[in-house]
Amino acid sequence: MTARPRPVPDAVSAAYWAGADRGALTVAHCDACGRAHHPPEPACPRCGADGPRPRVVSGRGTVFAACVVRQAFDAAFADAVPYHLALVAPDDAPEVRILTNLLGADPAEPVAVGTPVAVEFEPATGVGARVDARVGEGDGVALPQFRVVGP
Amino acid sequence: MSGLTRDVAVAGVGYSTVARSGDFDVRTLTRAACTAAMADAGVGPAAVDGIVEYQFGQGDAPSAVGAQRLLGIPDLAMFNDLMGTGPSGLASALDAAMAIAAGVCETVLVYRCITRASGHTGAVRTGPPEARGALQFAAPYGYGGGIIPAMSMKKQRRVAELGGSYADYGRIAVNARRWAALNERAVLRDPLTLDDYFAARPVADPLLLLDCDYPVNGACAVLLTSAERARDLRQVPVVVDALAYGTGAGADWLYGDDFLFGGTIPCARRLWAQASVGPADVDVAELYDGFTHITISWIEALGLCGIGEFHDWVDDGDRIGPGGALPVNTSGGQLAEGRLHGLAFLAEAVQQLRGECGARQVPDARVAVVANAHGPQSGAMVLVRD
Repeated sequence: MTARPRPVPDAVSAAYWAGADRGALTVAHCDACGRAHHPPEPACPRCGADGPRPRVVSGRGTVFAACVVRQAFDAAFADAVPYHLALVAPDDAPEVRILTNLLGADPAEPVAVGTPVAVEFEPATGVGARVDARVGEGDGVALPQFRVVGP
Repeated sequence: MSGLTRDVAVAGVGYSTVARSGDFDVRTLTRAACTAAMADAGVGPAAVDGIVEYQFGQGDAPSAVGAQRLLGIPDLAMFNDLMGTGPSGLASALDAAMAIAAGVCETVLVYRCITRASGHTGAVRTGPPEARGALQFAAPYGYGGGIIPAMSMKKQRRVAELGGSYADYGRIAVNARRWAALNERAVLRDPLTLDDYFAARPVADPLLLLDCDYPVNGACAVLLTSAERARDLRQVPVVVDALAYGTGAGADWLYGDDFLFGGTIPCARRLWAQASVGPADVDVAELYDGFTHITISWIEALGLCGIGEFHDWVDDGDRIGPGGALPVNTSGGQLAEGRLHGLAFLAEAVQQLRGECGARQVPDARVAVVANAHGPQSGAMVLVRD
């Protein structure tokens, strides 16, 4: 089986992955305009201000939009289809969308818009397929994943 | 009189052979389309002083100066190679029109040559094991296939947020085949029913195979020049009445502010602000259909119907079909004519306004609107018969 892609933190995203590694979901927050964004950017994409800072959010949210991938596009996921892909809007930063798989849902059909979800953190990668070994100390490869918590 | 500083017109259009399979060479395809566009306008290579082309950078097309050599054009006063983050093939014509209006050059050949393999996002790829840059937030979740999952989620979200049904998307697919049956150039000419549409394989549920355009090997070329010069050439000039771009705030296919419409709404607002005509004057609409969601977005963004009103407006689909009140994608579009990646919508609009479309001709078409792409890459043009 082809290894699933592992996120490699960079200067802008390091805080996000470090947060995930200790079990905290963060969104980038701009002190200048008060809006949040995701994924983290070097400057606020809404107002251009420098220095957005990671802000811890509760990890609860709702499905903004979802689909079920039925045709593999990446060889590493050929054995995973069908699987959920979704954008989640955090309850405490609803202007933000976070791309995720959806755990705990039947892939027979997409999860409905508005369905409540909660974050959990999965070592390494992959659509609910747990991989035991971390890639390396300090690599920050805990992957935020959202689980359906109810209709 | 357009909003441009100098009136610009389309003087010629041309196509290569367009085919799903078989041997092809991108230089041969490009040369065939460009030569046809020049012959259509009645000009030779010495008359051309600009070339703009759009490509994915995957060996799908020769560069602008590559085409200059292919065609024997003596010198270029303006050229540009546009890559895949713009308003698809129409980007080349938008660029050319601005250069002509600015007086940098006078007669510009634009083309989009595309191969079935390039940008063929349906293929299974083996990506790098380490996901860097934007990929770090996508690839670990199995997000692949270009914008396919994004377009699926837009389809799901649209119906949840604005109402209507997935059958609305099917109307676009069925419409494409109705028109393609009348277009000898089209690759998929068999009729399609809504039942056929719903029976198609789901690629990323709710996105179905027939929501996606049909990759081919082919090229389309358009020759633009000053309206003044065009009036001395072979064809009735088709004047560029307005052109516009739009990206929307937060410009991104997944994370942009307007998830459903991307930049189409601000693009349309700029377009009509510049145009001498309005949405009620449109006789024929050629609207990008790389995915069916895109066509519906443009119909609403351009004000051909209200936002969220497509379901009631399109009704049983006859309105946008042959003989309908507002013909849409009269060539069959990329869903049925084949994926020539945007520029063919302009070529079809020009041929409709010149009245040379035979069985699929929209009677007395005088005003056309052409739109390309979606999301952070939106672009559009209004054309009027001189």
